[in-house]
Amino acid sequence: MQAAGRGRAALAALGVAFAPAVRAAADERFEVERTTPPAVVEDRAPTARPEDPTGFTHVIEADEYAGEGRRVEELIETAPGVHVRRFGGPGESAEISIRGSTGAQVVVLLDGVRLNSAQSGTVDLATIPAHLVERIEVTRGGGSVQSGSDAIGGVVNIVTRRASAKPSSQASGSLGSWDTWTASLSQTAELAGHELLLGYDFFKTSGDWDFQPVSGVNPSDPGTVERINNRSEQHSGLLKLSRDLSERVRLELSDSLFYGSEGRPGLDLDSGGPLRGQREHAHQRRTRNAAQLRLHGVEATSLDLDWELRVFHRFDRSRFRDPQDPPVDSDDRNTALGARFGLEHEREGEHLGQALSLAAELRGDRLDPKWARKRERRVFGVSAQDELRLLGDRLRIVPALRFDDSEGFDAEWIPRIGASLRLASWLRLKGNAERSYRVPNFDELYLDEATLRGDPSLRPEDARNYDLGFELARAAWGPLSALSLELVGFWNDIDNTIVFQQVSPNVIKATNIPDVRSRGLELSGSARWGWLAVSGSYTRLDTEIRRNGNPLPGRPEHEADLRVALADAADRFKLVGTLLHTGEIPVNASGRTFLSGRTTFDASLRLGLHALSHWPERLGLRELAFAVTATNLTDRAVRDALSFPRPGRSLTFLLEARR
Amino acid sequence: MRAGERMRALAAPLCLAVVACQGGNGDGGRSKVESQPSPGCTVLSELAFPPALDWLPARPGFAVSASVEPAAVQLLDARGEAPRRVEGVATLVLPDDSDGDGVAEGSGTLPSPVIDDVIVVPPALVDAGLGLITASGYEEVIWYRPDRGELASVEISVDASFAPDDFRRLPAPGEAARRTAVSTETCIKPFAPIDSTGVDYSLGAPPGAFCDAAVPGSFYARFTSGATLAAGRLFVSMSNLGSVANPAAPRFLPGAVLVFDLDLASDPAGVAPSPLAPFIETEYFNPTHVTRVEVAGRELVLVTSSGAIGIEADDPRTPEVEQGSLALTEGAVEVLDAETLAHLGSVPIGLGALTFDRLAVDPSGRVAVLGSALARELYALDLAALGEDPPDLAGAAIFDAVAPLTFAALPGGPPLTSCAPLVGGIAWNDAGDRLFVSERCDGSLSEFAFALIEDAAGRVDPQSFRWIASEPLIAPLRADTLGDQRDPGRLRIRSGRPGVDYAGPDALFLSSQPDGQACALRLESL
Repeated sequence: MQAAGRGRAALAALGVAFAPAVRAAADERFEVERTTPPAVVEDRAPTARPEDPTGFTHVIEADEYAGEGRRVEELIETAPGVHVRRFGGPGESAEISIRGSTGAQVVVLLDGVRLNSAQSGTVDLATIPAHLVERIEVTRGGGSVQSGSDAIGGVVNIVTRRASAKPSSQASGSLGSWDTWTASLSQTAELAGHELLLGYDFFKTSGDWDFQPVSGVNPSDPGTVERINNRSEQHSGLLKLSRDLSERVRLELSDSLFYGSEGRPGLDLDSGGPLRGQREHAHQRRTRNAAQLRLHGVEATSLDLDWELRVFHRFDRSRFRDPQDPPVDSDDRNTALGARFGLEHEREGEHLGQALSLAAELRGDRLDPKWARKRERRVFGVSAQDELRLLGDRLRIVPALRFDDSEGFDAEWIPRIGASLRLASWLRLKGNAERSYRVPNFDELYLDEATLRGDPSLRPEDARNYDLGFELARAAWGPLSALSLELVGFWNDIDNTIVFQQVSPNVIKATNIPDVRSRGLELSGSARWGWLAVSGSYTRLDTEIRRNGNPLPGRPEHEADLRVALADAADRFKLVGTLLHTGEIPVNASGRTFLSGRTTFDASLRLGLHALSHWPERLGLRELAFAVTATNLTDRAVRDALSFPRPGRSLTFLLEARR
Repeated sequence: MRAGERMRALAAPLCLAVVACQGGNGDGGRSKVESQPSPGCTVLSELAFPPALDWLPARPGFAVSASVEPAAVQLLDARGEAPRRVEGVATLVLPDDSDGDGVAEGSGTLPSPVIDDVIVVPPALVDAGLGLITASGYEEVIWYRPDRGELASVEISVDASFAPDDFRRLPAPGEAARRTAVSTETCIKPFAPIDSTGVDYSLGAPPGAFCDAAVPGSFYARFTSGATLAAGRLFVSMSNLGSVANPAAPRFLPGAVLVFDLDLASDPAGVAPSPLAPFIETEYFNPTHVTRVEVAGRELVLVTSSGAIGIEADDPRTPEVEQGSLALTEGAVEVLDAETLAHLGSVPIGLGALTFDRLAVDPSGRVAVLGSALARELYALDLAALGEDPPDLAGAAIFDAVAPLTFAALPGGPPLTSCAPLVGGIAWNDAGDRLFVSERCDGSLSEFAFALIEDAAGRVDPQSFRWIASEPLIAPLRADTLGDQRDPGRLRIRSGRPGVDYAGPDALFLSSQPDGQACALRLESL
């Protein structure tokens, strides 16, 4: 039983550090050698949400992108089915879309703490420091059974670096185009019997890149326009403390802090003078703190239960000012406080294995805006999942059910059924059918800004999600090693999608629109051949407003990425080239207007100085690397997310050290 | 080469690279937006709400329309089944320095011009095709040649009798300059500084708040709306919206119509603020357009004063989201003598929140029609009453806000609680026996028959109008019609007999969502 559990929880790392790890949870195909023996607690305790053996989850190990200067949103978009909408260059906002979802339809967790605020529902991925991230798990498809409201598109779980009693230090710094700096420090150590992690991350840019106007029709057009008021400075901190209270009980405390101060130039216009309508003085300051206390234990009572208790608190503050006519001055504070309790029990019979999970969660959300009324909402959820393992574990059937009650809305029953069939040791067929939903957020309900209005009578979004696919994985196949391939088809029907649209000559209002469909195909794979590692994904997405057949704006029909890495096992060098193609993006709901598609290329070269020379070792450094990264090599003019301009070619130099 | 020398050799170009590689600018290929129009239409702008549409009388079958973003005017060939941009005539995108004064707008403290309307001057008034573009933000009337897609130069002069601060952006008194637009930031010196809420806004104003220190409450005009030529002069209506701190109760300052003397015989044309009366204060608030009419041999300028209009605030006690227009003060059609610049009086319409287009005058010149911004209502004037001396203002209204000409909503349209009605466009057919009206909420086109009946006083009897039909033109403004073409605006019917004088569609209209389009329509042409 313990071996099965350990295998289920094991990383399915493909080779060493150069290709993204495609992990199928609960799959025992690949062994992993750990450098430190895991605690029994770590292997067996329930995770933030019940394990999802039939779900399609893509795991991104941050260290495998070392030396490439990747931000979190750039790591996440390597997952199939994912499109990242960016509202500018590095440091500017970015939100995730999974299978055509909105940003508010994806639950984003940071070490299990939900980051989606009840006010806007979206999470800005640019606020998460990549250097402090260990891995990112992107689960596509309805996740409401595990995560409650909002997870129509999927769930992203960002896991930060672990605390450890073993002393280690990491530091990195970079300098790049447009006066862009980063610095990151993290330290693990033992502190009064606790495993400690302390981390800090800094980012700063002047962001004054040039860009091309969209259509270039203005006769005064100088050819390029400078992105003004685009300075950004971000500070992030991470504290983790953990200790084993007993052989079976572990306590973890984590706290992540973010502060950002950013200019907000907004959209540019074809007209609007030499500045092309950019806002000269609009400015935003944001603060976020996410804290969590987690207590978990294994093999409790005679029933051999694993249990977990989490208490979490999140605070967000966003202050925005723009003195330009009409002036804007907002100051919004969002708070979430909650607790989650989970139980898991496994048993193995001769013909049937079973893992039963139960969880209960209570959360309170509160919005405290400067110029409007306070809003509050309590959410209560109870879920149960039963994983049935049959036919010698070749077949798994996973029914699940959740009861969710959001204050102000009818209680919801959320069913789910998943199945996984191992056709061969290297081939698995999986599929899921589930219901998911999302209650309107506070902006959609209560916004009251003269010409921009919420609607308190909005109904929750209601979705049916289906997916079916193959997973192939072979440790070796001819000259290839660590081969993986995944092909998934998906289909989502969503009723009452909430959209802000003009429904009267005077007012833009949040509305429910009936019957939206998104369906498509996800193809992803990776393989190694000696020093060469290749990975890539392709997503085909069709979104449709059923009534008129028009596509939803902001969702590209095609998206593909390809990554080729050449690295030696001794870590002396790593050369990486990546390609990202994004097809046409509908600009509005007419189905007739599109942003042109584009293909961009990035490249990076990392030199492991510790492997090339002995002097880093003399400095006491276990690892010292220098890297140079070039993004958008062909200097393509890129626009995204309703035509926000993005920078052209850029260069970044990095230095990373560990001891 | 030793290790240290290798490192130094490597460092040098890297240092240069750091300095030199400040990043690219997207020169490697442009990202662009491509649009396909709806059948029978052409896309003016990916953003909604094109503001303007007018036929080009000098070129039958051609029209001009405008977009807000980009701020542009284009010439359209509307002779076919769908209007198309004219080959060889560029879309006129307003340059950064739209008035040619050497200072770019849209930077520092200077706002950019936002196009409000395009008025094509009848060729009877000006030999060469001339168009007027009214713009607010950077307040001005821009002169341009629609058939060439170019700005036109004018020689602006200011009489020496004016004070230096009377015109903020015109040449100094006694001087002249060549420009491509005439600034409408005229110092308005109202009779009484009372705003639309009834408040004396001059009280408590900081020093230097008034453009004429000797006239409390004087202010520079803003929100250029309509323009017309009459009696050799340019008339420009200025809405003078003051504060929108509370959208349900915005504060309008006293309205005004600016007057400029013209010398159209010169090349370039001459424009000068009229020394007789550089502005005429309106009696009602929010003048939104001016229309030239000729009545009894006399040139009149009719000013549409829409009245102060707000946006309904949501009432949290009701489940609906209130969002209609609010008529806060009464509207009227004010009558100016274009020759003498006398304000002859006003025809009160009432609390109708009058729409912002010019008056739709029938081909015989007898009846002028306008619409409401908050109801399916039309108002009309008997212009013959204005030709009397003195004008019979009390008897001029055929329909007003108390007794309007109404038309019903189409079934399947949005409920009143979701979309408060607003008349989009009004147009007469060439024969003058049909009136067509579009409405923005249900996307309908209504048809009225007109056959003149005079009452005992010789005034147009309301029975002259008879509703015939209302039909869907484009989609209604409902939540579920997202992505459909909807929200019809301006409507213009071509002069001439359809099927006789021309073969193509006889009307054009603007649709505002999801993108701005100009579309052809067959109303009476086969």
